[in-house]
Amino acid sequence: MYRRAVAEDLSDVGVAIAWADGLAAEHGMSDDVRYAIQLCLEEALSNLILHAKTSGGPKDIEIAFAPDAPYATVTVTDACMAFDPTGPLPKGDPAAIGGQGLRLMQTFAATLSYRRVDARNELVLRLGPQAT
Amino acid sequence: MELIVEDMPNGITKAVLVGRMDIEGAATVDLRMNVLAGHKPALVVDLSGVSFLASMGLRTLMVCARAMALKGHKMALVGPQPNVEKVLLASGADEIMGIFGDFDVAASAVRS
Repeated sequence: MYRRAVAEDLSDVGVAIAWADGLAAEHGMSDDVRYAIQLCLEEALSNLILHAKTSGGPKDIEIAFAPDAPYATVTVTDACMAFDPTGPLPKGDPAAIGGQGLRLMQTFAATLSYRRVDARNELVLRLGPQAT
Repeated sequence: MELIVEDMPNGITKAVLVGRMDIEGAATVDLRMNVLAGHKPALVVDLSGVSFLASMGLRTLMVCARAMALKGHKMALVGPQPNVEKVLLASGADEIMGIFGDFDVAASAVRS
């Protein structure tokens, strides 16, 4: 298991993604799985940095990467207010411009689970080959 | 992220995007893409050089397509790589702009 803190700054999103992608490459993940890891991290982290609220303290964002080729488990934790990104997508225009990040995570992750633990959000993304 | 624009002789504008359309990449081309959408009647965006597309890049494309549609103009996408196409289809982007494998077919679609 590898861990890394993520700064509350969009400029750190690409750096964090490159870190995870480097680990994925090192552990022999396929190009499709590496794409899914990058996409899900971009959506999860940018959503936290841009939109998540706290009760005043830092967001304290951390990502963990656990390789299990051909799968990888990516866990994103934060100290923001509770938000479950695994719920049903908002009804309405499927081609709406907003809200696409959640839709993409749900599409590209093999499984997506959420829980609230010790006043922290914990999002677990299982990424790997998908039946298509 | 690079954006190369070419006005074709048949009244169609070709915009070639190259690079990663992530948060940073989308920000670098967003304004220029909006200007194209505001001024060009028929736009084909070549995505064959786009290696990564996330929601911020998707937003850039969808805002342009919707803005053009409001004016009765058309935008189409051509040549997305498989995972980029998966993002486009998952988002419903294909409901507001055509996605084609071949430039000439895309050009016919925006011309008609």
